[in-house]
Amino acid sequence: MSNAAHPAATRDVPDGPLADGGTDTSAPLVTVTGLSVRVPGGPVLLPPTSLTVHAAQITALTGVSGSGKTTLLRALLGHLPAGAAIASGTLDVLGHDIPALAPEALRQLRRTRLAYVGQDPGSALNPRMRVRQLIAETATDPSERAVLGLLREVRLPTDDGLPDRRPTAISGGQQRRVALARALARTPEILLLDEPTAGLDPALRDEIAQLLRHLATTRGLAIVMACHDPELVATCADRVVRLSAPARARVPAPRTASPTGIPDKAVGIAARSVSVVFPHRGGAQHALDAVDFTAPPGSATGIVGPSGSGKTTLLRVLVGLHRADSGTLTLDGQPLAGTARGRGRAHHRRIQLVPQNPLDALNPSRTVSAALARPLRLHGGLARDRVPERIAELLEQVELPADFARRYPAELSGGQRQRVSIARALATEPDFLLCDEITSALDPDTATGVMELLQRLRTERHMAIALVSHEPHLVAAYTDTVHLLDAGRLTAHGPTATLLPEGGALHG
Amino acid sequence: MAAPVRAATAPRRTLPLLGRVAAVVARRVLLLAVLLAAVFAAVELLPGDAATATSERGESAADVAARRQLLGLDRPVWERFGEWMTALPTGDLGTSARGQKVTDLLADPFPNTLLLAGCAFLLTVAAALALGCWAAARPGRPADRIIGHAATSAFAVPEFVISVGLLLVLSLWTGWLPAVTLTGADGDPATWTMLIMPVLALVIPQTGWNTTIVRGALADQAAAPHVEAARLDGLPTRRIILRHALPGAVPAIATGFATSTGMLLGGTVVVEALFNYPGIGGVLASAVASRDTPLIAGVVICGGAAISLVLLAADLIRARVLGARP
Repeated sequence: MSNAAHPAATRDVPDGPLADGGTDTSAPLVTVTGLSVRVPGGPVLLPPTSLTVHAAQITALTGVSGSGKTTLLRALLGHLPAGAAIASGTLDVLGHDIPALAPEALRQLRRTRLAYVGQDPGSALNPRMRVRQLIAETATDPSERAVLGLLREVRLPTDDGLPDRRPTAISGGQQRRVALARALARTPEILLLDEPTAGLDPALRDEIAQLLRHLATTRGLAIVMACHDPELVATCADRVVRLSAPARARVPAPRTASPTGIPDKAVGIAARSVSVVFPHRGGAQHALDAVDFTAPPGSATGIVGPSGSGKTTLLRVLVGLHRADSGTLTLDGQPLAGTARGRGRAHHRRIQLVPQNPLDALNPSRTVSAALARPLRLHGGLARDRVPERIAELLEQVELPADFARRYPAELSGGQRQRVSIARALATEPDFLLCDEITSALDPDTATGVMELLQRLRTERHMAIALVSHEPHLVAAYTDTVHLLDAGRLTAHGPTATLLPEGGALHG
Repeated sequence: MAAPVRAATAPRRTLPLLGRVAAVVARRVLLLAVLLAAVFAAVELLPGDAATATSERGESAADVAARRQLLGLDRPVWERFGEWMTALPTGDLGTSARGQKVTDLLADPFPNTLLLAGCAFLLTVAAALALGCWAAARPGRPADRIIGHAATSAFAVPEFVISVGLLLVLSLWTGWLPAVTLTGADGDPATWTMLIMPVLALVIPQTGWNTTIVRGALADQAAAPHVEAARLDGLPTRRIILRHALPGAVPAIATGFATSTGMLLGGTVVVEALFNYPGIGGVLASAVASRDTPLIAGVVICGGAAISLVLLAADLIRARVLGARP
């Protein structure tokens, strides 16, 4: 391992200006002072952050999902998310004031001195171009020799036909390295990487870490990477900037008076010895048999069990779609009616369900904006002209572009539909979000994305989440407590860490 | 590992492609046959027949009946259709109501119309691509909006209105071009300048239609991750559009152009009549007037074959572009 050769001067810098060590002799390439980014009138995307970057150094931006790592990278690149704006602070990259830079000068900067590789480099490569064309396109020296040299520099084979393949015919790790080579081809001074090892196996991750280290040393390249992965940070970062999740002031809602003033001691939503019986072939089947359930405010609770163990039924009982045959439901210690019809509007607002299959749950002939507008008008009592603005905010919260409002469900991917479904539930600003197998129809990466989103929303909005899932590793990763169900009975209940150790097999 | 697998399947993919082309051609031929049957039926339903339509003043009923028999109009329509269809593979398009070979009647006008429509098609392709790309390079800016509105209005105006406008401006007011097409001794337009106004009258609405399609397809592509990445790589806008956005937009654009050929050939009938251009438009109009079924069918089959060829080309382009992306 060559990583041992370099002094990993990892430092942990909380919010506030970064005190430069005396070791930095060169002038900084990037100086960020007290930069914060927010959507005007909406969420804060990046809390005030300071940062300096020097040549030949690797700077890692760490922090939980939603803490603004990507936003910071995009601010450095002069490409903020749609609707976002710099709220305070200054931003100097290679002697240029990025926010004030003219479009053509910014383009030149990106073309020659500043390179960016996004989180999903595979999709960022033109599927109709061959690897050698992709690299020659941005290269300062597009000659055959230089292109092959770049491929070798990112440790890609050049003698088995890879340069003549298209991005769709190479593996994910290779795509990532082609994207890296494409970024390096313009001999940049600063390389911005968003999660350079996301989705890669450990061996490949170590290889990328070594490669980055090597590039920083040999090319004198300043690398800024947003990174989730503590191992990668430990092996190759010279300095670490930890971003804290923005203490996001809740968007001031017109009716703050009502149920938000609940004391923290409140017990949240609870079910006490709930039973549900379905008549079955003349006899009776206990879908739920005297099950207890509690979800305190702001908690993340998993509901795990084999198929048919009553997980979904429990959620339906909690949300009032199915009346329990016996047992009681309470919300913050107050009785909760057994059916949604019997509940008041405030209860509807506070408890929301995200159903399993978003394609079934979204009306195919109504646009996203129509789907989101209904709960807004119904529960928010929002004036008609404020609705589009609020829809844009909701989409922003679930990390979808604002122009998705005009789309129909069929025009969205599975992950995007699920996000719309979540946004619809969020429209009422619920305190309890009940999620029924929301990741079962999604591929692993998208599933993780959706779970990260829920995690972020939970911390930001102090919202409780109950998660029904078939996938123990997701429950293990994203919940604090877990209820294990089997054949309608609660078999265990306790901290996730003890009941689902290592996210692995289920010990119920 | 992916590469060897793909290499193995690549030769197999070309054969089904040929098969698919053959199947598409067979379907188009069948469609054309159905269309011709409809043409025969439609002419039959029109009041009067070729014998009365071509009769001269003072002809006796017996003379008309005799000619009706001569033209075979006393036989049922399906018999005549069958006869005409069986002669078709030999290149025989039958005999017109006035006793001339249909192939001879079409020999001059059809190439003229092909020239007119072909010029219009090429100009439309060039103009629509240029305007669409130009607008896409400036999303939301005045040039984009002006092109968008102009394209919609151009498509909304019918050919004859545009023709009349062109006649007014280019011929009556400025006198730059003659108002009618003058033909030379061989029946073709005397000079190439005769083509300008008929071509423009066809190009303007079709460019409107196709510019909208090009602009829309490019807008879809602009949202693709690799196009966004190219933008963040600081590539020049022109290169982003031509190299990264346009290739992905080609299938939609090709389909748009292919549908245009139908409208172009249809438009020639009106435009040829207005400019007195010696094409199949005029032939078709007089053939309908004289209920000349074989001649109408001949025009339809020529036009149909031309449109089918262009549609097939568009399908092949789509297959090729989409095939590059598994």
